[in-house]
Amino acid sequence: MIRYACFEWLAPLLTDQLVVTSLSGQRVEWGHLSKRDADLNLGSMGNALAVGIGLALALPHRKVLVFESDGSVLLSLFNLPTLVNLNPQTWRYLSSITKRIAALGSATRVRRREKPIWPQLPEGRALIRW
Amino acid sequence: MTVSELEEFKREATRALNQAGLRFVVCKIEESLGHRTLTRSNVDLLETKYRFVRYLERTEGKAIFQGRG
Repeated sequence: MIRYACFEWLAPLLTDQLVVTSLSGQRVEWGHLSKRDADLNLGSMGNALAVGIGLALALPHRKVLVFESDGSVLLSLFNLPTLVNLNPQTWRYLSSITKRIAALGSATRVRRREKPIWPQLPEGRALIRW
Repeated sequence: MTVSELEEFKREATRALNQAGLRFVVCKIEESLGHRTLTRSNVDLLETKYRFVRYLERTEGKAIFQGRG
């Protein structure tokens, strides 16, 4: 399977979905095929997933797609349990989480607050990893 | 979910686009340097960021970058 062929098939299907890409070939290929304002080509490793989580939390009514690479995910693997623990559902839930983060000042404490539900994935967003 | 064929990818991507809920698809792809032959966008990465944020402001009706005047 060639990545470009996947992108070539996917790009025309997107409308108002938010897309976040990380680095290198995938960014070049997606940037070549898609010229939408809703694309955020970061051009850096290790933060696409985190940005996607933030977008999904802030905009729970929008579909968010994250195109990651293996190296980029490994660079910030901690984003995966964060994604599951935060479980973006509604704005109210985000507000609650944000206040707790501000109050506790420690991401570790926030993670302890939530019972891990891995590998059960939360409802709400779509995410694709390369 | 792990896919390694284009048809599998199409099926899973369609589900990701049309169904509610988080979907995590691991795509096993062939190594390729095809991107080196593509014409790169002349849009700077910083420009991409601002364009994206202005798009969010426009579509969500919220001010994100308010500037310092």
